[in-house]
Amino acid sequence: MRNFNMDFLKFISIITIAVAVLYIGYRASYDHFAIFPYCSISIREHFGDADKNSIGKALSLLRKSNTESYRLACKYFDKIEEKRCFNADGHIYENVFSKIHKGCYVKGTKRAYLLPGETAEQNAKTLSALSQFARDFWHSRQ
Amino acid sequence: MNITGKKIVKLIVAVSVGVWIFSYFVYYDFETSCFIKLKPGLMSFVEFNHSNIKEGLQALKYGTPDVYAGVCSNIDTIESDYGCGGWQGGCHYGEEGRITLSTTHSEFVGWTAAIIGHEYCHDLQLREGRSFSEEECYSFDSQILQTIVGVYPN
Repeated sequence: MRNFNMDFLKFISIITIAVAVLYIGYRASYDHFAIFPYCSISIREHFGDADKNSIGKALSLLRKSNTESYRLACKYFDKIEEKRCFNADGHIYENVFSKIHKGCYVKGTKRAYLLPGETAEQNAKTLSALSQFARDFWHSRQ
Repeated sequence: MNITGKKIVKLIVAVSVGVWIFSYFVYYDFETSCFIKLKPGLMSFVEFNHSNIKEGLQALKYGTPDVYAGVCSNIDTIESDYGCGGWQGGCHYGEEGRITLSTTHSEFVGWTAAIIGHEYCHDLQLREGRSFSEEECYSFDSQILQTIVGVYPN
């Protein structure tokens, strides 16, 4: 019985390690994933953008040049998407999309949105501002 | 009783599956005692989760707590289905406490929160015996958007 349990535990351990390796490989390929400092953010790019992976590049830029903002982004966001933001209903305000924003943060969530088609440099700047929005929001609730 | 590794793994798997199934059909927030049934409809076949609806409710919880409290008190069922509001829209078919929402996880969650607020506004109109006014509810959801969405640059 003891041998059986040991074999079973070995089997579970191997499966767990294999799943972890596959998961890290997948996240590193398609999302932003780093172990030191720990950061795991899903990325959803807008289909058809000229600058591929501009969100991933923006996060890498932040990691190198603005570690504080990078740390905040990793703490407060788990998903970054390219999508146009609006903060009014078009039925009430005409041309709601006329005021184009570079990005937005939805309070209470861990999502940040970036305007599609922007460069990695611009996205890094926007993410830096949005991560500070998120920090200020959560701090104001404490 | 001899508890083996296999039994523990089976128990963990069973509990995880149970929680997953439960969370598919119910939005629960123990902190505020908020429980809302999530009724699967056409949109639920597009993807087997209601994450956007749940995140929309979370945005209301932290961004507009008064609206959230009202939604929790008055809305008991959110149906994830395509309805009269079209894609990324909502509907209130005149049944108290029941709204319909058409969304998927990839949609703008700020808008999802605003639509929940919009349909809640119709529910209040119904409960208070007032006439059905879209203008009032457009204004209501717009205020929610302005409150919960922080844009850059301002």
